Amino acid sequence: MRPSRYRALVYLTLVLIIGLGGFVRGVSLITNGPSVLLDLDAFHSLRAVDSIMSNGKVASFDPLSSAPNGTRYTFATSQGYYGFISSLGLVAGLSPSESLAISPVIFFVLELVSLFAISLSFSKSNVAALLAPLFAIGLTGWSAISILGADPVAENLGAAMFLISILLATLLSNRFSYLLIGLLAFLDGITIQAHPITYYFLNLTLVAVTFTIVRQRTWKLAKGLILAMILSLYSFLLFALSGASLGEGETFSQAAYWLASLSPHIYTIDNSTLVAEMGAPTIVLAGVAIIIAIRHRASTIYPLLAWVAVLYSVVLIGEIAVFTPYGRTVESIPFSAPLVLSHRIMPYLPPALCVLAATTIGEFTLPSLISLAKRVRISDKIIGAAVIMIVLAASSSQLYHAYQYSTIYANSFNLEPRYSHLYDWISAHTSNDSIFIANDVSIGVYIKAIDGRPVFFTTSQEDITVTDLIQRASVQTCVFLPICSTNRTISMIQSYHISYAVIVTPALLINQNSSSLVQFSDQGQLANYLTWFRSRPNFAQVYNDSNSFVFSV
Amino acid sequence: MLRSFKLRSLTVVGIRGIVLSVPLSILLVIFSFSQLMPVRFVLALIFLLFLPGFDVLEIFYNQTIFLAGLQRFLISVGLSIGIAIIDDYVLTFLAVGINLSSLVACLAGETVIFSLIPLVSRKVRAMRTP
Repeated sequence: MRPSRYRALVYLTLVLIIGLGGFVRGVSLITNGPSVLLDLDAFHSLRAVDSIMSNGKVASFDPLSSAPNGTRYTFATSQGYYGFISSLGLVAGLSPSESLAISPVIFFVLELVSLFAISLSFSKSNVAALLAPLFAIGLTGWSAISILGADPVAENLGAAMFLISILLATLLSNRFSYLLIGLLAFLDGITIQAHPITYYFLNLTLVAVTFTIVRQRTWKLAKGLILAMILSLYSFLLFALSGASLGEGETFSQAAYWLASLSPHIYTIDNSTLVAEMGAPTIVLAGVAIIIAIRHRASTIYPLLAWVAVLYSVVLIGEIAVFTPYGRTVESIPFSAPLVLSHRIMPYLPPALCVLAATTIGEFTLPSLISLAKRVRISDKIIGAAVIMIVLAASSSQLYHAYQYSTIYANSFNLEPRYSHLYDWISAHTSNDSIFIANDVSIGVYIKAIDGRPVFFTTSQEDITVTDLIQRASVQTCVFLPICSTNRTISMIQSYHISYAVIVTPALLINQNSSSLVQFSDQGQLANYLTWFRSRPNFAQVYNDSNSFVFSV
Repeated sequence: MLRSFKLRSLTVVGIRGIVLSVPLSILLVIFSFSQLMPVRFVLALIFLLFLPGFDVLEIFYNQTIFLAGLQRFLISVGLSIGIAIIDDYVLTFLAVGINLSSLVACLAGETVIFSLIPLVSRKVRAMRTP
């Protein structure tokens, strides 16, 4: 086959894989429509984007945050992402929600193409390059956070920028060029505007990659990477311009440890989660690549190993923080929030494992099989077709699992219609400055975004980056769980000027006394629970529907 | 031989950037204030995700000649996103404001300027050469 035709065939296959990925990940876009937002973070982003599109400037303070005015920790964490989505909305003529909902599709395509390019630069094998995005489609759970249609989070942009930066770092690790250094420094710095965590993990990875280059004694190339990282510090100027400061990052580290400590530990990744979300075949293949690379000293993929090693160590540190008595030690590490809330690693670690798994097949297995086939006089085309069939069969169950996950996610996280009557009532019957407290730790984000009312407590970063976090968590516990004295509860409510209490089912409640999250979904329990709630003085029911209740305080 | 030399020469002076940027910038200005949403969406993607970064890479064409097509494309995307983010800050701090008019002017203007730089720098170099 002529090289140009072969290249065209490879790119056509890549387009087919992206199409398959769109089908697997885009269930929500297909079933719910192009402007429906899912999950929690999307509604936080919605307020930020709406603010930029309405006011015409990068907002430095979120008026509905619990963080005290003056700290300015709120929208500031992902200003670049919000600004970019706003620009897309304004130029394309889309509403804030449409602009947000369509954005994961764009970043999803970018991620898959980046994975293709990164695999190609490491292995020079087109098969490996095509398999890496195929494996990435099958990711579920936290690892799909970056590529799930209709769940716009800042890490969508972060993951795409991370991979493009890694591609540049790969180029720079093979060729010294001041232009590449400048480009990497620029992109590296910009990642802080997607999310500070992206910048944090990218630089951890770049440091690890630099070590692999130092080990090969190619000092000049290592200097290039170090120079790029130093130059990327301009990002802190941008960060300051966006209204954040490092001090607030430290406050968030304490809040992150508090959040991660709540049992069950849903914000911390462990090995079983990693295997469940990525699929055992991908993990096994990645493991084989690591063994082969170390055994045969395949130095070309050492940067890839460094990428995996440093980010996997974050998973281990997260486990140490949460499951061992050394949590306080981890908390004392400066800016330890990304280490403790290790679920945030998932947009960045699994892509590396996908590239490694693809390398095992495309770089290590296929050439050996083809040379073996030549000895027994079997056509290499037959061998190639057989390998592709085996890989597709092995990954089909993971792809189906990802499709199911996507379907469930599209239905169960579409919370806006479920509580639409509640939002309408709040909007029509309460004043703009009424402060709400809600039993579920997430519903407050929707009330803020849809009704524009302040909510006393949510697990969003802008509400937990407060100096009185424990006090607030105690109020949240006492209002919604029958474990405090009534007088104490009332005095705490009055001190925070709370006007309304909202109860929804199902809900996830906080119990600060036992440092845990309590699931509340049993309709049988609800009648008794409401009887207890109504019996308390100072709480008068003012609204109810099938799954939500409002009490004035 | 002569033809291929001319083509390469045109590529070096950054004609690709001008050929893409000038007409597309005119289209952006024309269609951004219309109700043709699909056209606006495509133009928004081109100007926020590709063209500014592509034009910047064209300025450094000789230093980036080793980049493969796909690598060039992805780096262009990364640069364009970065430029779009910086634009938002510039518009905010110059008190112009982030709105449709200012964004269109900014994106179209900077893209055309970036695309002209290789041509201008080549002309300047030619004038300096005795």
